[in-house]
Parts: sequence; structure tokens; C-alpha cells
Amino acid sequence: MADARFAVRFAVILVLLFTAELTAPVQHALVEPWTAAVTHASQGLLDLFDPAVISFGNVLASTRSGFVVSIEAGCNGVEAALVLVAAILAFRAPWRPKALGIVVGLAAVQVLNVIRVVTLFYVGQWSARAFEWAHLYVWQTLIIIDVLVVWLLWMRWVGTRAAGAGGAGAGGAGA
Amino acid sequence: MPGRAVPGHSAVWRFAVRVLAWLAPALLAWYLAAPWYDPLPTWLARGILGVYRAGLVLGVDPAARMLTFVTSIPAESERAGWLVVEVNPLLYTYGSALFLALMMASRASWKRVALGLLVLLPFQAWGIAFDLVAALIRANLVQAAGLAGWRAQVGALLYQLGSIILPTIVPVVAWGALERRFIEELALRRTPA
Repeated sequence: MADARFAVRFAVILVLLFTAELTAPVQHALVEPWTAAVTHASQGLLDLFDPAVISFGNVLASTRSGFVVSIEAGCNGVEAALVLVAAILAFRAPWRPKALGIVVGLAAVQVLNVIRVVTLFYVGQWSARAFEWAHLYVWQTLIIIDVLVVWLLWMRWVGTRAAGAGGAGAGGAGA
Repeated sequence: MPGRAVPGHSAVWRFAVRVLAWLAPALLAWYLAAPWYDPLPTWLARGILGVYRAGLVLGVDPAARMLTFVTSIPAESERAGWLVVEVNPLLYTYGSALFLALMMASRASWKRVALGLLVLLPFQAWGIAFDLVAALIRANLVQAAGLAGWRAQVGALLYQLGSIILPTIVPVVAWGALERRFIEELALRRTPA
């Protein structure tokens, strides 16, 4: 029963967050600036060993090879973040661990997402077919595994805290 | 549900390593099996499209891992014919590989693996069906396809959900539902009483 409640809460929160994300005000106010920030962060990381990379808006480009990629929906880490937020909010736990889980979890997801962008940038210059595979299938899968692992670790941490505090508090989920 | 504690976070990390180890063979199996697997979600996608807009699809031709949908929209060319739309089914079925890797990592039974793959099918069909709808919307063929009004709005939202969220989320949720006890042991520090 608790599993069913978690599943319903997760689905409702996820659909609400995702629908809100698609609206024009949220796109303009949050998603587009965030995508530009991800692009800039990726360029900053690339700049450590490849000064020929420039960024503008959501576009990364190599001035040496002429390779250009734009970071679009599904690659900016926003949807993965929404999934993690929905999973943490849907789980029965006190608000403070939830807030901490969201902050730390989002950081973990975004760090991996920047690594995804950087690796795809180089894979794309090496092979179009490898880029297609890495972009469409492999990295999508790795990012959701990252979300799942972060969520499992967070649940375990919440459970440990609850056990230390006398066994009350967290519980009530499957996935 | 009382239980005894199991080792710390390392159990989660070990599980993550097993998932990653299974991912490459799972992706290979998924890709090799696609010509035999894809007709199932494609058949369901035709059913979904039949409910969403009856008569929109006249037929579908699977070739070279792509689906070519023949629509009932007249082609704008001098030769008589119908508009065709290509959809890549792999974009919506790769979650099968993720699901397989998760199930192998949690050492699930083959019966549960088969059950889970069946659960994924309607959602993969959803993605395929609304990829076609999105292609028609992008090509400004809403009127010609009879999708004006709510159908276009709903179709666009269902496409976004079916292409960005569902391909990866549904396999994880299906795994979680089928391997609930494993998750409890792994993350909730419980073992069966």
C-alpha cells in the first residue's frame, strides 16, 4: 500500500514538474538560462585542456575542427533533475533530509551531465555514428542510472538517520 | 516490517557496478534483437494512433531498423500517393537494455524479466506513436492530418513525455516494482523477516 502511494505521488509530482517545465515562462526564466550555464560550465572544463573551444548560448563549438553542438532538452540535465526531485519528494521522510538530498543529488546529476556534454563533444569529432549511439542511448541510460544510485544512497542515508533516531520517520517506498 | 541491518552504502555501489557491467551486453542484446522486438511496440503504436486519430495511418513498413508510416494525408507532389513519415523505434526501445541491466544486476528471475519487458511495450509504443504525431505537427500538417484543436496540444505533450521522460523512467519504475524486496534490502536496510 505504501508502495502504491509512493508510486502515485511520484507520478503526479513528475508530471506536474515536467508540464511546468514545458511552459514558456519556465523555459524563459529557468530552463534556457540553466542550459546556457551548463554550456558555459562545459566550455570552462574543456578550456582546461582545449582552448579552441568556445560557447555562446546553448552552443559549444571547436574553432579548430569546426565541430558544433547545441545542448537541447533532454541533454541539459533538467529532466533527470526533475525525476530525482520527484522521487525524493514522493518518499516519506522529514523535510530537512529531503532538502539536503535534493541539493546534493542535483549537484551529482549535474556534474555527470557536464561530463556527458564534454565526452559527447569529443566523441562527435571522432565519429558521427559513435556520437549518435553515445548521445541517444548510452548517456541517456547512464544519467538515469546516476539518478537511481543517488536516490538509493539517499534512501539508505535517510534510513540510517531514522534508525539512529529510534527507528521513526522514513519509510514507505518501492520505486 | 522489522529487519536486520545490512552493510553500509557499499551495497548500493556494488549494485551500481553490476548495473554498469551488464549495460554493454544488454545494449548489444537489445540492438541485435531489435528487428524481432520492434514489431511488437509498432503494432501497439498503430493501435494507439487508431484511438488518437482513426484512419491516420494506412500502413507501416519496417526496414533497416527504421519504421516508415504511410499516412492518409495526400502527398504534395505531382505523383499520386500518401505522405510517409519515418520513425526510429530504437529511440523508444533502448530502455529495454536498461531494464535488462537492472534486472541482471539484481539477479532477478527470467520470468520477471519477461514480465517487465511486456510492461515496457505500451510505453515504447506511446513514444513511437507520438513521434509520428510530432513530425506532422512540425511539418504544419495539423489541419491535413485532422489534428486541429485538443489533439495537437495533447499530442505535443504526449510526445514530450514519451520521448524525453518515459524511455528511461519506465524501465526503472518497472524494475522497482518487480524488485521491491531487493530495493528494501539494498536501500532501506531491511531484510525479509
